[in-house]
Amino acid sequence: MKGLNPFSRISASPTRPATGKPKEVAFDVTSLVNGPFGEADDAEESSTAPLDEKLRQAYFWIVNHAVISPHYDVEYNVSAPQPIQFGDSQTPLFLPTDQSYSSFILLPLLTFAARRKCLFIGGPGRGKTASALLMGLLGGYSPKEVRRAMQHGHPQMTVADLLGNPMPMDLMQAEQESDIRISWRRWLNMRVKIVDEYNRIPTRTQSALLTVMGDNYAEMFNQIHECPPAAWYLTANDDQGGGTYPVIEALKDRIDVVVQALPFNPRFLDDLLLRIEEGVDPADCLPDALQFSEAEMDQMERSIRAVTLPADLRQRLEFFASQFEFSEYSGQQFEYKSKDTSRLAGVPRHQLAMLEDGRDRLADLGCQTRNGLSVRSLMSLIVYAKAMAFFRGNTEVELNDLTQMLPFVLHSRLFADADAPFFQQPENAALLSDKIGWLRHLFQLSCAEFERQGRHRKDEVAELKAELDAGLEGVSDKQCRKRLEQIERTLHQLAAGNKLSGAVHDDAMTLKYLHQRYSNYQRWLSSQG
Amino acid sequence: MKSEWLAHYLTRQADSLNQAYRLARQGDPVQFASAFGRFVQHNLDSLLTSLDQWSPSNKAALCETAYQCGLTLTRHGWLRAEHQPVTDRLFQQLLPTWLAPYPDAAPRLLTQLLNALSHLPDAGQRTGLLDHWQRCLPAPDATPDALLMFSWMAGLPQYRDAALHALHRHPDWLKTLALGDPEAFEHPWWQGSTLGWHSAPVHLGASHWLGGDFTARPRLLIAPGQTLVQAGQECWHLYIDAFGQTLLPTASHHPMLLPVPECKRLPTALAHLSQGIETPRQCLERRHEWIVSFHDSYALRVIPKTGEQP
Repeated sequence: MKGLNPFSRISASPTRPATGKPKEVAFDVTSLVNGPFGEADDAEESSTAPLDEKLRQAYFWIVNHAVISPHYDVEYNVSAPQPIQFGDSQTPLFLPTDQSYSSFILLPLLTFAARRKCLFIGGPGRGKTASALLMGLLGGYSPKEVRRAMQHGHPQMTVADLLGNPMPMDLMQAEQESDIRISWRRWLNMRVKIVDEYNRIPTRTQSALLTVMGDNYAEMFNQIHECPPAAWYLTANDDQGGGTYPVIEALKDRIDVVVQALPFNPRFLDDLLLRIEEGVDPADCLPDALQFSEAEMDQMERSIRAVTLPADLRQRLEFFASQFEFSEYSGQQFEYKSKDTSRLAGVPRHQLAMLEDGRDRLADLGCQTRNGLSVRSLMSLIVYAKAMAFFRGNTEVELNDLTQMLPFVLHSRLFADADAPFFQQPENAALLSDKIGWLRHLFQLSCAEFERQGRHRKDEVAELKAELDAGLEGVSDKQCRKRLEQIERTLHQLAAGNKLSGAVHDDAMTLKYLHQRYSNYQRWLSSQG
Repeated sequence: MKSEWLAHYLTRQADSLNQAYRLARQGDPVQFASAFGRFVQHNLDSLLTSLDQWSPSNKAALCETAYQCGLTLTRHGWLRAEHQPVTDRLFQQLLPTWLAPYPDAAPRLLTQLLNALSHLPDAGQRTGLLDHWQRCLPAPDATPDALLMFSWMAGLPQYRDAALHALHRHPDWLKTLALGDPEAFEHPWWQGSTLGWHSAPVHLGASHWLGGDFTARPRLLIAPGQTLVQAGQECWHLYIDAFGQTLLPTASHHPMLLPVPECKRLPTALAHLSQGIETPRQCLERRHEWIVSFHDSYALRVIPKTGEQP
C-alpha cells in the first residue's frame, strides 16, 4: 500500500529554478507518459536528482507537509525589498524578492547535510523534538528507530544510561578491565543523533556526552567505541541555564548552531485541527525518495566542503571577527590586549570601560560584546555558509549566505554587553533580547565599516600576507629586506593614522608575524653565506 | 456497490485506503469527500464490476492504482462537473473494454493513459483523444505509439515528428480513423481526408496582457530550424499545426538567434491585416504559414497557407 501515499512522490519541478534563465524543456517523447499519476514504468523511482536539489526537496516537503511554519526569517533578495512599517515603533516587515526560508527547518537541514550539531531552543510543545525526529527520518531510519534512539535527558541519567552497560557476566569473571565487554547503546551507531532536553542531564553524564559529541567516541571501562560521523540535534527549553543542571561550557561550545522555535501562528489552527481529526502524523509520511543513504551523506558533506569562499568575503569575515576580542586596557603587552585576559583575571568590564577615553564606544562594534569569537565558531560559520550556498545550488558562498548564517552560529557564542552605550539607545534596546536581529545587524555594521575603510578596494596587510603565502623559495636577501621595510612602513602608517581598534590590533599582529617570518628567513639566508 | 469483490477489498484494506484518502484530502474536506465518494461508487465500482473475471491479484493491483489515480484526479479537479463526463466515459466504457485482455499490464496502461491525458488541459481535447482511442484500442506494446499519435492529434504539436514516425508503423489505425495518406501529414495544416485543410488563422495570447500567455508584447526570433517567441524575460519555442499550438519555454541562447525584422510593408497575401485595429509589427513567412506580431497587442496570429494539394 506504499503507492497509496500521495506524499510518496516528489515534484519533478526544480525547487529553485535559476532566476532570469527559463529552464530549457528537454523535449522527450517519454515525458508524455509520465505525469501526476506516477511513473508508468514498474521500476522503482530512482532518485537521480542532484543532492542539493534533493535537500531542497526535503526542505519543501517538510515546510509543506510536516511542520506548520509560516515564518520566513532567512531572507534573500535579488532587488531591494520594500518595507511595510507597522506600529508606533515603525517596525518594518520586508517582503523578500528571492526564495527565502524558515530557519527552524533550514538550519537543522543544513546541520544534517554538513553533519554538525544543532541546538533547538524554545518553550515546550513548539516542535523541537518533532523537527529533530524528521531529520532522523531523512537519515534513512524509521520513525520507531528514531524515537527509540532518542536520548531523553533527565536528572538521574547516568553514563551507563547514555553509553551502555558492561556485560554482567564479564564483570564477575574478568581478570582485567579489557576483558569487560560493553553492550554499547545502539544510538551511538546512528548517523543522526538526538538528545532531548540536554540541559536536564547531570554534569558527569554531560562530560561523557561531550566526549561523544566532540571526539566521536565513547569510553567505558577502558573500552573504546568509535562512532560514525553524525548530525547531532539537541533540544532545550531554555538556553540561559534554566535546565535542571547547568550545561558545561565546553559542551555548549561544541554546538554549531542554535535555532529558536518560533511561536505557532493561530491562523494555521485549521491545519492542526485536520491533523488531529484525521490522525495524520507527518513522520509516517516521509517519502522514501527523500531519505539519504550513507554514501549520499558522505558525498553531500564533501560537496559542501568543496564550495568556495571568495577572498573578498573571507576578508569581510576577518574584519568582522577582529572587532570583538580586542580590549585595549586588558593587558600591557600588545598580544595580551584581549577580553579573555581580563576575564581570566576576573577584572570587571566596567572598570576597563572607565579607562577607555580614545575610541567611540558607540561606534566601536567591539564594545557591544562581552567576549570575542572562538576558532570553533568561525569554523562553524564557514561550514554553514558553505552549506547554505550548497543548499541554494551555488558553488560559491555569497555575502547573504554569511549574513544569514552568522546569527544562528554565534547565537550562544557572542554575548552582548548590556551596559554598552549601543544598547542604551532607545532604538537598539530590543536587540538585547533579539539576539538573531542583533547579530545580523552587527555583521551589517561591520560590512559597512569594511567598505567605508575601503578595505574591499585595497588591503595592504592582505597583500603582504599573500606575498608570504606564495612561499619564500627563491626570495633573495634584497627582496626580503625590501619586504621587511614595507612591513615596517605599513606598521608605522597603521600606528599613525588610526585609533587602536580590534581590526588595527589584528593587522598589527599579522604584520609582526610577517616581520618575524621574513627576519628569520633573512637570518637563515645570511647563515648560508 | 455492484462489485462484491471491490466491497470486500475496500473493507479489508480500509486502514491503508483511509489513510491515503485522509492524506490526500487535506485542505478540502467537503468537495474532496463528495467528489471522491462519487468516483469510488460510479467509476471504480463500474470498472471492477466489468473485470470481475480477473484473478484477485490482478484486480487488487488495478484497484490500488485506480484508487490512487482517483485521489489524483480529485486533487486536479477532474471530478468536477465539467470534466465528469470524460472521466465517466473513461472508467465506465473505455477502460473496461480496453484493459480486459491485459490483466497483468493494466495498472501500467492505466497510468500511461491518464498521464498522457493530463498533458491536455481542455476537456474537449481529452474527449478527442478518447474518441481515437476507443476506435483503435491499441495493444499494450502499441500503447506508447498510440499515445503519441492521439496526443498530437488532440492538440500537442510538439509530439508531431515522433507521431508521424509512429503513424507509419500503424497503417491499420490510418484505415480505422480514415486519415488517408500518411505522407499528406507532412503538411502541418492537413487534418486527414475527413477534415481536410485547416485554414482559419490561429490566435496565440490575448489582445491585452491580462490573462494572456505573454506579459509583454511578443517578439518573433528565428534560428535555423526554429521559431521562437520572446516576451519580456521569457522565451518559448513555438509549435503549431492544424491540431493545436504549444509554447515550450526555452533559454533562448541559440548562437544564431536573430530577431525577425519589423515589416515596413505588409506582403500582398496579408494586405487584409492593415484594415484591422491592430498594427502588424513583424511578419515571418514560413514554408506553410505566416506568423504576425503586432505593435499594439499581446497576441500573435498564425495564418496558414493552405489550398495546396497534399
